[in-house]
Amino acid sequence: MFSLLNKSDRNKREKDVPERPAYFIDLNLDQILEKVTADWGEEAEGLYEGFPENRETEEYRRAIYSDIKNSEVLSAMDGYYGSIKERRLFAERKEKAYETLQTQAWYLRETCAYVDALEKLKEELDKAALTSEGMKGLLSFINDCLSSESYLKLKEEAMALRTELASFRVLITYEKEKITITDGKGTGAFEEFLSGCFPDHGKNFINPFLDREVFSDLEEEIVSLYRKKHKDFFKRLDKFCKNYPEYMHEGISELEHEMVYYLAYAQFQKKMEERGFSFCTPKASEDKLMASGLYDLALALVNYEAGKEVVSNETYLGVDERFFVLTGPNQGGKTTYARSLGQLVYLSKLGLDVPAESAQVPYYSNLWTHFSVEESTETGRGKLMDELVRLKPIMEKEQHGAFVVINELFTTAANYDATIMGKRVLEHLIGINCKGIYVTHLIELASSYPEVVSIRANVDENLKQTYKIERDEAREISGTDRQAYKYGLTYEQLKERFNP
Amino acid sequence: MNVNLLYSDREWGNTKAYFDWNSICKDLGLEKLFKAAERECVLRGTKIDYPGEKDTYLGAAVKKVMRIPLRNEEEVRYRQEMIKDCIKKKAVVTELYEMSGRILEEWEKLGRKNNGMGVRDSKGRLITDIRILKLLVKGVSDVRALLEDNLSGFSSEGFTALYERIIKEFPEDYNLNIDDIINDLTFFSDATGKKEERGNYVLYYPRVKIDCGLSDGLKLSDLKLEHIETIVKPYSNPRGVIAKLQSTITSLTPGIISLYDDQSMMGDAAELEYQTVSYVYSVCTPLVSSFGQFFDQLHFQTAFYLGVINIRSHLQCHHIDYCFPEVGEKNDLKYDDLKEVVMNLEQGGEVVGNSGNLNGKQLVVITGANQGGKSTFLRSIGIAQMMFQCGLFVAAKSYRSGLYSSVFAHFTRREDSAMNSGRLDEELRRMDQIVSNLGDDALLLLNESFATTTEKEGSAIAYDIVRALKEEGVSIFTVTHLLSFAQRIYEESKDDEKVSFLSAEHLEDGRRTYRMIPHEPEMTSFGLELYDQVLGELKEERENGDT
Repeated sequence: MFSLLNKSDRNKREKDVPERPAYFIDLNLDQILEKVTADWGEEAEGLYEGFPENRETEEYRRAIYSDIKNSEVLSAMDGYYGSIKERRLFAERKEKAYETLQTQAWYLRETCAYVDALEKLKEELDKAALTSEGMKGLLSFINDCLSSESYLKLKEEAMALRTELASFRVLITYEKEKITITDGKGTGAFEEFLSGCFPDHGKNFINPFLDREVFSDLEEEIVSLYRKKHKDFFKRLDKFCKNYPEYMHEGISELEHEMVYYLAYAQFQKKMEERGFSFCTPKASEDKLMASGLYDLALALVNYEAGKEVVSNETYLGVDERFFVLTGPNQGGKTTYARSLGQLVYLSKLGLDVPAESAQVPYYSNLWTHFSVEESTETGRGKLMDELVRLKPIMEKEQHGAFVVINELFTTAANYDATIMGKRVLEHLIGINCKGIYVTHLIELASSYPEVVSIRANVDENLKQTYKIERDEAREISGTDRQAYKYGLTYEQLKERFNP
Repeated sequence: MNVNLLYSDREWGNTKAYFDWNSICKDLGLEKLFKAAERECVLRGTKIDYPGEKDTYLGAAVKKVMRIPLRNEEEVRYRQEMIKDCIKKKAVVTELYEMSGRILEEWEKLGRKNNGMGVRDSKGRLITDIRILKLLVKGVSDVRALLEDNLSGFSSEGFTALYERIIKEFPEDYNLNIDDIINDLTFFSDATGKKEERGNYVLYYPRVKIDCGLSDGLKLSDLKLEHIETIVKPYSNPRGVIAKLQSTITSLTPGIISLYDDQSMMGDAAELEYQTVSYVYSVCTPLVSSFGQFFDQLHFQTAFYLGVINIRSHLQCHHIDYCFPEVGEKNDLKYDDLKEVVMNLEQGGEVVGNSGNLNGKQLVVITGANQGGKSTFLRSIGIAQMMFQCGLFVAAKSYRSGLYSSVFAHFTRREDSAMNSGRLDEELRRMDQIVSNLGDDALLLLNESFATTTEKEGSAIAYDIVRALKEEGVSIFTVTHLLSFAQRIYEESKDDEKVSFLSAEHLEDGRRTYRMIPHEPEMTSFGLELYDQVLGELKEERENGDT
């Protein structure tokens, strides 16, 4: 069966994900996904958990996403999704109606919405220049469905019933104790008179019956009087519902669910772009990891609401390079940088666009994170133990070729021990061909192996953090200077205060 | 629908209000003037009497209108002509004021303020809304009739234009259509029935036709109102035998639904009835907002003119001469027997007036001994300018001046003049605000500014400010005791035609006339005078002792 998420077979779903991996929290992906799925409710639940099974599927999704971002395709898909929501509303009403006549009418409405939306989607996709295998596949799947005999019959009958229903007009005369029902149309003279007195008044006659989803007693009475006058129509409606208990073509419902994966993210991305944040489609790369204008998407969301800027960075990990070791002052943007790298890999692996101006991302077999748990009540040995336990699965052999984000290890151990352990972890991960970043306060690690690249959070001449991360030798920063700076008491600052 | 009695082409000024209006009112004592606007003053023989009730709204209206300066001669003329006309046709203006007042009051009673607040159910609210609509529509007809009867008596443009505007925007046939619509809604707004002329009760019944379609889920949709009407029927008991019989017949007729005794359907029908009436009413709401504003404006604007008429009556009772000023160029100030109105009203018209010609003077520095009438003179200029820029008469035999888009009063009040750094801060802060709000043509009245610090410091501050503002084209009147400041300006502007120095006049025998005459600033002031006054005796004693 055709699928938008998996290239080979839908039934072969993503790799099993027993529980949310640690990276959801560590990389603040939960915050990002909360925004992405905000308008989609249950529909989007779990869609972004678990990676495509192989490189081909990753590319398959990336190509689809590129097609969907095209504004024509996006609006076609959006439109279609709007109709799904509408259909759901009709279905709810159908469930609530206690009068068979009304249940049937809602079902007819639901069917018509489905027919309209599917036809429109086909028409619009036909016009759009689709390039991806996946979207072309979707179009041909829809074409097959629309030309099937069962669909054509369903459509014909539903449309005929709809046209007839739309042509009915009723004239209601209300005289306090009684209401008279007659067939036919009014003259419109009174509305004309009102418009004459108040041109373009733009006021609406509010329909009190629309308040309630089900029939009110009076409405039911009116409609049943009406049914007596149009017996034939209601008989045909009844037959229609019995002949077609299910209007949807097989497979469509699953595809509708899969669409959300792309649509939710595309809409989120569009909104962020309107706010001035860059996104790009990562280019495939054999071995180099490269990005410019890379930023922490979760931080961008928070900062945007607080009206603050977000700093972006460059990154480059060459062919023979394996691991970044990131050092520098506290509050210098180290964790943010590590997160942004992790987010880059995560989103790229999903086949989606990444928060950067440009990016090249190689294929990684998996993504792992290991962040020190600050608020852990465990101390000393206990905490070290906990860290090692969490480290174990990352270092297993089958993680060959994964991307690993480590944020401070062994902080409770003595410096000497921690340095040795840190080196061992690096050596091991390099050995199983993993790549990644290791944020640490141990400057010795930065020069431990030739495959290690030392990068550093920078400060300006006033020792103020720039949040810029660049290749640089690791070195210590004097603590007293930093203290003075915090209180605005360095020489330059004082001068500045007096002569703005 | 605009009233436009204050301006020929709009309801309200489109220029900036005076900055810090409350300070201006306080510094110039304008509140007394607004009090005078509240009721008429008449002279019975030589006795002054106030026959009417106080109406604080009149004073408030004058205060509000005066806050916005008129910006050109045309606007001043319009206002002046209106005032003259209102004096002449006081009865009509009073009637318009009272008529609009009654309508607004009625509206208030019907619940104008709690508009939309859930004190009553929505049906009750709608009934009230319709009654308000009816009230306003009738009110406009009444205003039209009143103006029609008095058209020949007006010589100003305002009232005639108002009449023509009503005729144009709410012509009679249109009025009739609206009356029809309101009458059609009677079954809803007056459901309780009414005693007709011959003593029989009647009931109002609806006849409403609605054209609708069947849409999604067979719900009735796309409602169009086809007909609405109120039918008058003689009263009959709705629970009576006849009613019951009729309903039985109805229920047997095909195509007819009887609502008799079916609570649920009656509820549905009532909702439909409500929405129908609500729709028709909502279409008419532009009239409510337009007419509502109309009466608000009419009431307010006529209040202004009645207030002005009252102020005039006070001037007359105190035998204070007044005139309608001439509009001159900027810095072209000429006044004959200009009086400080507020003090004169308080003191029965006995404060002397000043005459002078300050044509071309941009900076006027007023110095001299205390109790010489300097501040009074400064206020008389300020008050006259306020009244003039509002189109009013001023208390002078003649007055000509330019129009200033902004006027600022920076007065150090006597009770404030204790030396205190907090006070100086306050003064500087106010001056800072004034400087940030200076318009293109500003008039600044300084009364003993910066007297809250030492003479030396105060002089330096005042000098910097006055010099800078003068260079920026601001017109300045300053009453000052800062002699170094005055002296320095004097030295530097001996050849400057734009600067003038005034001083309180002393007669040769030392008596004061309270008139301002051109006079160079003296190096000495109240200090020595006061020293002599208090300690002079000691000196005399010592001198006497010596001899």
